[in-house]
Amino acid sequence: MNKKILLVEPGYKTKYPPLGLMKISTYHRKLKGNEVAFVKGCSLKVRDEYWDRVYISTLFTYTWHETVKTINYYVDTLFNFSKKIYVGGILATLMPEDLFNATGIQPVVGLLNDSQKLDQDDDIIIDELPPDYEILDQVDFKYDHIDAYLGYTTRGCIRACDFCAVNRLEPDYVHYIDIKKLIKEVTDMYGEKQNLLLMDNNVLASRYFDKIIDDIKAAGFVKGSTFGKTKRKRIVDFNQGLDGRLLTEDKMRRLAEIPLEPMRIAFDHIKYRDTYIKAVRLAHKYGQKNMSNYILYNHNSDTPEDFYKRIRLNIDLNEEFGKEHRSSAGARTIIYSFPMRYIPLEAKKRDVDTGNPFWNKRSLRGLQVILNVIKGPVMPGKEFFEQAFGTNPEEFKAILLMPDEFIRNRVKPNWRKISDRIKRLMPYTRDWMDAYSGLTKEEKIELENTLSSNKLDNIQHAVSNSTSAKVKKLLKHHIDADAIVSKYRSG
Amino acid sequence: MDNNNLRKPIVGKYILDTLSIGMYNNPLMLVREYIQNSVDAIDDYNKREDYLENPKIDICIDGRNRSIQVVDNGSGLTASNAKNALHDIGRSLKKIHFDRGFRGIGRLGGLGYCQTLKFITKARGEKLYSVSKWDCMKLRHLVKDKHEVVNIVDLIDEVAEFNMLSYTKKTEDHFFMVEMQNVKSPRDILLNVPVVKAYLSQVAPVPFDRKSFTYAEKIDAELRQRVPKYDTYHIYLNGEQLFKQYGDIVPLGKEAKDTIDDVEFIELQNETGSLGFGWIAKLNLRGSINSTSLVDGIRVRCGNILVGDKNTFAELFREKRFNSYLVGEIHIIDERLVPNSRRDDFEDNETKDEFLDCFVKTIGLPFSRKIREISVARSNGAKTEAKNAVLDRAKKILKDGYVSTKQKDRVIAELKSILKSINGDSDSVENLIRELRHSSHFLDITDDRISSPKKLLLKDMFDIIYEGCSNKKDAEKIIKKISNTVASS
Repeated sequence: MNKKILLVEPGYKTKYPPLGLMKISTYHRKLKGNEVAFVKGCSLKVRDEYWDRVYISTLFTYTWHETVKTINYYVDTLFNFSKKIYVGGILATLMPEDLFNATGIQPVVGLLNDSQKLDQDDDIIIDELPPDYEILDQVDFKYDHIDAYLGYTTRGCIRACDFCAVNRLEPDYVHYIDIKKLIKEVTDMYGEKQNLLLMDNNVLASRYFDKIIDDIKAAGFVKGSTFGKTKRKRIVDFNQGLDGRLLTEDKMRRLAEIPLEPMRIAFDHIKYRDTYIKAVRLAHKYGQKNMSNYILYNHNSDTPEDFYKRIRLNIDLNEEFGKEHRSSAGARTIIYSFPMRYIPLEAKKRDVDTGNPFWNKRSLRGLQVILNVIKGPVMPGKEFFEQAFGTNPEEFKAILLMPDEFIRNRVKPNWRKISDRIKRLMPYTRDWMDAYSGLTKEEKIELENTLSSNKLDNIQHAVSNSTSAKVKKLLKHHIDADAIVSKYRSG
Repeated sequence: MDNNNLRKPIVGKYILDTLSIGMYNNPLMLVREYIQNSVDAIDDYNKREDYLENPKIDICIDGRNRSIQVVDNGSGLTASNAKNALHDIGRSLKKIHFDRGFRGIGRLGGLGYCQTLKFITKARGEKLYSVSKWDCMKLRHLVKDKHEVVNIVDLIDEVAEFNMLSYTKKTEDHFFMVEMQNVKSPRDILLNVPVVKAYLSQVAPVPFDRKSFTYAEKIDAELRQRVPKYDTYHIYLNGEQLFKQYGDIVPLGKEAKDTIDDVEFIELQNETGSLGFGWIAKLNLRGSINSTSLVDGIRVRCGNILVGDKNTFAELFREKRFNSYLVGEIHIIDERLVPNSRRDDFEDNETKDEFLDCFVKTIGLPFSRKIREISVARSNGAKTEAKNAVLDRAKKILKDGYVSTKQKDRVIAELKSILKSINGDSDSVENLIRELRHSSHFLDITDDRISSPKKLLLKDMFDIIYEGCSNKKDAEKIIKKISNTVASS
């Protein structure tokens, strides 16, 4: 009997296509001959159809609300025949019991590396199947990286960092997976792809690292290789980042043989400063032009100062590399910083208290506003950097404490034409910075404590209770921020 | 611990309470239980003896004497079997897959609703008949009183007596009779003949009525061929034969009607085979069927006796009310689908899940979809109709004049809202609005017999009338009447 299979990704925004569902699709569509439909979120149009099975993927735990809503919608769509619903993925693996209590469905935990997990009547390992790219056409949602082979050359990680879920998702480190095989299968089934996106969690730990590089090259990803008639540049991206501690000269030499773009070195804490610098210099030495390095913040003992110092370090390295003689290839090495906020593994929303005493709601929000303005990774130029983050950690802290509207509208619209950094600032920003630098140590602590909850109620209460006129003045800016900014905008 | 020292467990007296009054949530269900037993007895006779010439079940409700009798001419019980068969509990001689009843508790249903319950039975060829008489008042008293007997066996000995008597009529006679004396039930429902009739015509294995239902024969023949346990029986209530209430005409809402054009046969099957088979009437699916028709909803039957009620499977539609748009029956084929002891659903097992899933796939979803599509098409039709009505009113004003400026403004406003809803060609509506703005009062078009000062007065008055009346049609009528009266005076 021809079965009808429904694949669902909850309605949250995401960059990467749902790899697990795509593999399940290949299994059902190509191997079992079933009819497969793919939808994003709670789809009205599939509600009046009959489905033999529904698969729902899950992602980050902070999408909890949306995920539970979606699962329960499909439980209802299937008239409570919940045994026909399979829920798997990251959230499902990290919080199976919570999910069971909220939906009545016992989720599939871990990788699809066992045919029993999905009650298959065969012993096909779905995790090893090529993803079905064609189902992505069924949704309006636009995913990135759909012109890339999506795969792994290793699985798991040798480390057990407490901010990272990999150890629980993929507990066993697998040293080698034949990527050539996957690339060939995808090419045969779905056509050739331009790029290679590898989601290895720690490829540098592999015993077979050399063989992996050989495989990647054999599959057509050699530095300088092009794709299609228009000769577009092919790139390889170890998307989950590389472990700087394991980057040796030999390994870097090998990495330089493939078109790695960008290279991503993790810089998780200021304590890895020396190791990180060594790794970046090594990459630079072997001609790695483009780096986008992960800067984890808000974790454990991290502070805004340490965060500032780490991105500042990348700016300094950029400056240093910029002064060197250009290589024959012309371009210079550029490092982008990619800030990543730490969210606890089982947090059901983004905005949770991590227990880190140095970052609070105000400073986290302040950084978020800065990052929203620059839209993504931190640019390599010193000028831009200082504009966005301040010239030193103290200035950075002053910016984080500003009202959101001030942060967004710190400089005059024509600031590019003004060479003096101070004169670029809007009057209220200057006012804020001056007032902040005039505070005593105690006053700074009072201000920060009051703002830490980022709640207007607390601020209003403090304005009437504070004994410091300067603190009161700064707090009042928070209350009047919108009015002040719009006054200057219209005037 | 030495297990030998433990006494045997006692089955307490309250179990009888649970199996009688506690068992059913509607007293009418006990009548169904007795009919079910009768039907099994008739089948049993037909299997073992010659084919019964006129098998029938007679129900007599005597309001004056407050008694109910259910009599069948099935195989009856032999004198040697009768006592055990009637006084044992939860032990039936019947077989689960052949007979409709099999648990040996159904006959106890009557204990809760009368003062005396009698079972009288005789098998063919015997000169004796058996009477089992239960004193229900005493039973209730003993169950309530804490100090009296505790054991169910002792309790039955106390309240039930068994006698074998010699039968003076024909030895070939065979029957089983249930007699309930001094019947008591909430609102006297068990003695309410129309209610019992309506209930049994929906629940009992009675035939379709060939006189009022064109498709009776076709459906009956098809069911006999496809459903092994399907059969119909002659059941009489106070002398009147009972039929299923299906007819060619199906009432919708208060006055509307629909006609059954044809019937569609439907099979519920999964990978292992057929779970059920039935029919669904072809209707226009325009709305809920009036529940007084006793035919609304897809009803599921096992051995041609209803399982649950008309709404038991309604939740398998996208919206529950969609079930009431339909007329039809599904008869169970798969023997693993067993009604539970209350017969308000099936026993829970994997086959039940498969049946429900199959129901969703074959009936619930396809018909939900159909009903929705029809409703969308109809609401589009209604919109077009409403739009045309506005256009007609506008044209009438252009021809005959308006009765009040308020009327004109109203129609213009309606036209503007139509303008918003149409895509594409809107020129004709825009023209209409332009023309309407320059249209005239009807007094200025039609009547020269009224003087100008009077006209001004009338116009003001008409505005007030039009504005004040909530029914604008009435307002128009009043205005016309006044102008006619004024003109002719």
